[in-house]
Amino acid sequence: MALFEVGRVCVKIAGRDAGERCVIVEVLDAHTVLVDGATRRRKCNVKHLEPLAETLDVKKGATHDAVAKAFTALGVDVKESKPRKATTKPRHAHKAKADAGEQSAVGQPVKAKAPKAEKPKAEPAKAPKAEKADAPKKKVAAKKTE
Amino acid sequence: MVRGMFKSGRFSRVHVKVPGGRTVLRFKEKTPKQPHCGECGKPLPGIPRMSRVEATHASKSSKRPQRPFGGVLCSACTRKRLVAKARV
Repeated sequence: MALFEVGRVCVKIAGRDAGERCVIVEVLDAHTVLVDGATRRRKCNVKHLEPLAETLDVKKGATHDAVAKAFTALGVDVKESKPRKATTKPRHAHKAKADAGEQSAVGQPVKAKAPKAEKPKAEPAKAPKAEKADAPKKKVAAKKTE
Repeated sequence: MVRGMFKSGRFSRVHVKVPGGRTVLRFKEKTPKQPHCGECGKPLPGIPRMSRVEATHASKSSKRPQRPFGGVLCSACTRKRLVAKARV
């Protein structure tokens, strides 16, 4: 078996995921492979990998879930990347508005930044907070009247 | 009388010639030394030489590489260590 073939367990020795174990999922090139496992799933230069003696039963182009299952044999936790939560900070809303305004002013196509403009959905989320803030005041007022 | 903060060693004394012709003592904040690799002693790239105040306000990721031993060892020494650990 060649060194860098599908199923070979490696240690990444460069970059942010250095020191983490990964398995080769696909050989893309003479010097690039697709790796997944305790590292992020990514294309990787062979120079940035240190091959180990172990191999895993992984098919070519295996999904992340399949790799995670195979990694339980190694006793290594697989890195799970969580999708980013949509931020509801007001400054983002301002920025989106500003972008939209600029684009309309210049007359450029709005298609490219359409997803950004959708962000200011925070308004309905803010509304209940405002109500909550109002509610205790009302109670206080009621008490005073009593 | 020199202010207390200027005696801390954080400032260097600089003699500046002012437009009036006098030479005046001024205090200039020192820039910190460039950090070096803990193993080979080479200067570490990618680490800005900020004053303490600037460093507290800057983000962590802007002050050092994100890999293990980032800001302590150079990339070559890190790689050597990781390879040695993997081969044991």
